[in-house]
Amino acid sequence: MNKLAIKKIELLSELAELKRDYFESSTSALDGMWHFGFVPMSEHYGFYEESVLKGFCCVNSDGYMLQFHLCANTQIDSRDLFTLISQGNSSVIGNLKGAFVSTAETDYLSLCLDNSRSFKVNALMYQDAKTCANESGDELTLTLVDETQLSNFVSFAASNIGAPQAWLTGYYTNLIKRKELWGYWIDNQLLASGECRFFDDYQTQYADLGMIVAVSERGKGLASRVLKSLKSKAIKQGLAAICSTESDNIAAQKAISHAGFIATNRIIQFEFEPS
Amino acid sequence: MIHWIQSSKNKYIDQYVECYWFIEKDMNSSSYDFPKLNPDPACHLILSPPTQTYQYDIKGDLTCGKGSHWLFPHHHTIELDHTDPFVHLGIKFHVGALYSLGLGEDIQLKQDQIQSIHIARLFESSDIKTLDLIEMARMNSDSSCDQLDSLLRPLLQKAKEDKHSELVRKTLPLLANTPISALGDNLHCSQRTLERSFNRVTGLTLKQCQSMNKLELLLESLYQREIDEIDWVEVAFEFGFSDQPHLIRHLKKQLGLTPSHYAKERGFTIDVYGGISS
Repeated sequence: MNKLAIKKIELLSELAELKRDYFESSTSALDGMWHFGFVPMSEHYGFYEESVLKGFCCVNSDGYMLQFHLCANTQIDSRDLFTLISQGNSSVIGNLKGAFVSTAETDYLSLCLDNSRSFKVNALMYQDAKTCANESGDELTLTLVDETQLSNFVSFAASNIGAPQAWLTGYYTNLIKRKELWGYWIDNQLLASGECRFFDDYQTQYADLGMIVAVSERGKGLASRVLKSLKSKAIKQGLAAICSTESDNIAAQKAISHAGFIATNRIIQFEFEPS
Repeated sequence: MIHWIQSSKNKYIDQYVECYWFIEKDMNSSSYDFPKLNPDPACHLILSPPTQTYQYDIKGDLTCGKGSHWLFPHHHTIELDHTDPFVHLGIKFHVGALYSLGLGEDIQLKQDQIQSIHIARLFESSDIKTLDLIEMARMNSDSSCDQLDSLLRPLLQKAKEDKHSELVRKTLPLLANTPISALGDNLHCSQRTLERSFNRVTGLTLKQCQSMNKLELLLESLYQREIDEIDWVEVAFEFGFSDQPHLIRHLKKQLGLTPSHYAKERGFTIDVYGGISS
C-alpha cells in the first residue's frame, strides 16, 4: 500500500530535476512549441509518495494532458496511476478529455494507448536527414532582425498566417531579444521570416526552426530555401536542426522534406475513454 | 436519533468485546429509512424490546423477526428497515471471539445471517429484563456499560483459549499493515497452519477478513469527506485498489446514490454498528 498525494505545482522550478529526466528519456528532441510554448502556460500536478515528489503531469486549459512522468525510483505503478487520472478520478486534476503525446515519449505514449479509444496525428516532427540535400548552393541571405523592425514582422505575420497581433508582438519581441528571428528581404520587401530557436534548459544541442513565406511568394520553393539557410546557421553553431508542422499542412511538409528533413516522429492527439 | 459507542473499561471483557453501542430512533426524529450496513467480520449481539420487529435485507433475502438477535459476520452489505421507531443496545464482539465462548458451532461460524435469541437462555439467568438494560442505556452510557460487563462476565469467564484462538489473537492486529503472505513468517508458523487456525476460529479466510477491514476503513474515510473533495486516485492507492478502476466507478456510484442528508449524517449505521466514533 502506498500513500500517494496529488498536488498542484505552484513553482515550476520544483520540477527541474524531473523535467530533465523527462527530456533525457525521450528518444529524440521534443517539439519546441509544445514543450516550451504550451507546457509552461499549462497546469502542473506533482505526484508525491510519502511526501516525496516522484512525478508530475501537465494539463492544458482544454483538459488535454501534455506531459506525464514518474521517476524510476518509486513504488507507484505508472499504469495504474495514469489510468485512474485519465478516467477523471483525481479531484485535484479534474476531468481529462485526452492527451497530446509524441512518439518520442515512449512511456507516456504507451500509457495513452492503454487508455484511449481514438487518436489522430496532429503534427509531424522532423529532424535533419543529413543526406546530400545538405549541400549548400541555393541558400538565401537572411538578415537578423532588430527591434526597429518589430512592427514590420508583426504585420507581415498577421497578414500571411492570420495570427493575432497582440500575441505576435510579444512573441517576436522575445525572439528578437534572443537573436532568433531572421528576415529575407528583396528590394525592401519582406518575403519570408525565419526562426532559429534555441533551447535554454533541456535538449540544448538542438535548434528548432520555423518560417513564414509571404502568400504572394508561395509555390516557388522559397520555403525550403529559407529552411536550408536556417539549418546551416544551426549547424555552424554545432546544433542539430529540428522542426515540425501540422499533419494537414501538405505544402509545409513538402518544403521541409526538400530542405533535407525526415519526419521520424509524430505528435498524436488521443481521446480518453469516458469513465 | 440518539446513539453512543463505548468500549468496556474492564480489561478481561475487553479481550472479547470490542464495544457496546446504543441507537434509538423516536417518533419525531427523521432519518434515512433504509440505511445500509457495510460488510463486517465481527459479530454483534443486539438487544431489543421483545415486541420490536427487525428486518434485514441481504441481497434481496429478507430476514424478519422480533426482539433480541445475533447479527453474524457478513460479507454482503445489509439494508435495514428503519422506517419505524426502534431501539437497539448492541454488543460488538472481537473477530473470532465467539469461538472461545463455547456457544457451539452453529453460532460461532454463522455468516450472513441474523438469528433470534432468547436472552435469558444465553445468559442462563431468568431475571434479565432487556427493557431495563435499554432504559439504563438511554439514561447513562457509563452505567450501561458496567451493567453489560456484569451481564457478560459469567459467560466470558467460561471462555477457553486454545492454540488456534491464541494465534488469531496475534494475527488480527497485524492484518491491517502486513501482506497476508508475510503473516506466517511474522508469527513463526506455516502459512497453512495460520490460514487453517484463522478459518477455524473466525469462519473467514485471512483475505476475507483483511478485505472487510479495509473496506470499513475506506468507507469510514470516505464518509468523513465531502464527495467533491475526494481524490479517488489517492484513495485507490491508499487502500490498495489502484489496479481496479471498476471499484472506483462502483463506489462513486454508490456514494452518488446516497441521499445527501444520509451522507451528511456520515452514515449513522456505520457509526453505531461499525464503531466509528462521531
